[in-house]
Amino acid sequence: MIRQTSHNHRIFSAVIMALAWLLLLSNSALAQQTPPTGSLPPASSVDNATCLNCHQQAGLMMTLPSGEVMAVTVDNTVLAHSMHAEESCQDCHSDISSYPHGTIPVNSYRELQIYYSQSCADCHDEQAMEQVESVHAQLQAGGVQEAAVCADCHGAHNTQAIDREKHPELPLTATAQICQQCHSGIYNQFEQSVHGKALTADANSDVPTCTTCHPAHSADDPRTQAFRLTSPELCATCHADKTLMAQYEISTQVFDTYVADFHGATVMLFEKTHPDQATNKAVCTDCHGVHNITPATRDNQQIKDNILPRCRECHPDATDNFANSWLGHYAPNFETAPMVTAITWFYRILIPALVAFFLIYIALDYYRHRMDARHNRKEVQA
Amino acid sequence: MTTQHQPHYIRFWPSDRILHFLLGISFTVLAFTGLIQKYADHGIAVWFIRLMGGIEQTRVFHHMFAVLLILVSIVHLVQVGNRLFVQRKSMSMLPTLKDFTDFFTAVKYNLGISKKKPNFPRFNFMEKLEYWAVVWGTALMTITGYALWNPILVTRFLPGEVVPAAKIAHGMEALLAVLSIITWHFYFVHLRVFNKSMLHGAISEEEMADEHPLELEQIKQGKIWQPPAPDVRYRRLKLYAPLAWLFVLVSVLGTWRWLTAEKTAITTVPRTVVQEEAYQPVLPTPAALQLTPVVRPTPLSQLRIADLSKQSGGASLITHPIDGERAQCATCHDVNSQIDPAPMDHADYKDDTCLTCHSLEGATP
Repeated sequence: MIRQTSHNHRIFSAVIMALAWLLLLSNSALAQQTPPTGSLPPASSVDNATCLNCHQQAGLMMTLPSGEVMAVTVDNTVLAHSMHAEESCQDCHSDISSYPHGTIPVNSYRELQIYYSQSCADCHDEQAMEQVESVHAQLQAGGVQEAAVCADCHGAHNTQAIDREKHPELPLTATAQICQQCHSGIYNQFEQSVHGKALTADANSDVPTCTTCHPAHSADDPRTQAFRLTSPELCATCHADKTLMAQYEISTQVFDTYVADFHGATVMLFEKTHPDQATNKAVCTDCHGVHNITPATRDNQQIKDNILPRCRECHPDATDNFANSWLGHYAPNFETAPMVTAITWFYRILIPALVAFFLIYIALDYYRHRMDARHNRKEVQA
Repeated sequence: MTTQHQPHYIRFWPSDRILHFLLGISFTVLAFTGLIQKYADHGIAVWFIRLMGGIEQTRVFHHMFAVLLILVSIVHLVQVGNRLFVQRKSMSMLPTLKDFTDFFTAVKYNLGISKKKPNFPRFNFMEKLEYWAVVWGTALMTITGYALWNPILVTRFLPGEVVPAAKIAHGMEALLAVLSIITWHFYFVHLRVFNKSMLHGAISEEEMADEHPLELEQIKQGKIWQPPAPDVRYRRLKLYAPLAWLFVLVSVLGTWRWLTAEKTAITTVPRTVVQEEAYQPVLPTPAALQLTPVVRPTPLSQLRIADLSKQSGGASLITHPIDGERAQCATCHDVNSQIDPAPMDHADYKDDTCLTCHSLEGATP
């Protein structure tokens, strides 16, 4: 009985395999028959030509419930030059398969964009999963319709390559330009910053662009406490990189000196023990700025002038002297901080010397103590 | 023989033992909560900090036990004053030249160079070293701790570098103190012999002979401290007690003042969050864009119907092949359709009747 079943199984799977093989063959045969130019491959039910038969007609308009009038003419040359030239209309417009088209559950043009951006996940599920937790997706979920959806960055019928990692021929500023479309205020600040200038004017690929700190799909909400607490580590990914910083003669002690100080130590511990802890403890951006970061050289008066007002934001009674208690991002030496350096060296010598003295004396005492005890035992025995 | 092992030589009075216990507690907690802050970048330190409820809570514990240590110090000062001015005991804890000679004698004896044992007094040099290390350490930790507790107040009078200098000194001194305790203290009172005098106050004659031979000899000669006569004691106390109380009052108030001297170094004012307007589109987004409503143009289909009907005596020509999908005329040319709709009177017509009137003449192959 069992043997019979397994025999049937084998026949069944062989048939399936054969069918699958035939299907593959026929598919590849089809693919070969399809001319590579112009015409689009057949879709599941309606081919693109059918759609374009109407949608190529100029001046085709549709009035949305909001009163907006939307052009529904599709420019085939735009479509043919897009990343999706080979795709079927129905791949995205999967809810339309006949004429008259059913009702699309949207009121406005924006809602339509949001509605159709959902269909991107059908093919790009990985990216769709990435962006679920992102600030844009969360805002969308909260009803903020302006928050970016797929089509805002990638386009709709004109889907373009925007990833510089896959398309190095794109300009360095490609992503920043896309972000600028909605975040022009921040872009203008960034453009004037030490990073922005290097990116836009010097075409320097070492400096961060928007997506370096705010990953395109998975950008966290930068206004959260968790983001604030992790921000020093974000800066440190580049600023603690010795090979990268060596080219620009930038100190890589910035992170270590920050963490060694009260603010840095507290922020790092909050991040490890209570990642959502609200804190006013200074992070990198509190003194250096966020998008408008200027070069922080030792003689940058602007940074120096910034320090005391920054202190006073949290310590209203702070004086000039108090601001000087921050020794900067350089390991202290006899010139910059003589008192600190002298005390450090005092203990660096005293501690080992004293502990060595203790241990040597203890060793001697212990040796004599044992010798005396043995001696006493012998005397008692004798 | 039995009396020799019985601990009956008093070393510590109950007040000493209580203070030592409190000192031990505060030292341990301070060292623990302090060192995990000093080495906060180590995983084990983070683990302990999390266990204590975070860095803020760890600092609260550290401050609480710092206050305990300060109170212990205040009480000890009163106690020392009482012994010196009221009881007039000898200042046996002060370092003397003999401590140095004792040290060299001990080294030579331990090395086996000399048979002469050091003749230790009531407090031998090992004990004096430790006592004065605690005094020095507590004073230094109190002063540097004050600077770290009140950095804004301190920098009103002193240069800013004092704060990081105090931090370095505080941490390094702590390390020195802990290392001293686990070497020197643990060896002499726990490992060499387990000295229980901090528990019941006394040691045996055997221990006395080993650690304080000079004192033992003096006791046997009857050279022991005699308490003052009650009236003398009363007279001295009349002067000392008010002074001691004044000192306690001033120092406790001073400690309280310390605790509340400034708040912004610990409880800082909340951060003013500058909310940047993140959404500043270059162009109005489609959602904001109101396309100017245009008058709907005459559907092309209607134009074409009018056009084509001229050529075929009424019925319009079919302009495309009617194979496959397109065989179902009503799919596109329903009476309600927006492209090439059939006239209303065609509503009941079936697909197979279309060709009766409409010819395929207009179809482009």
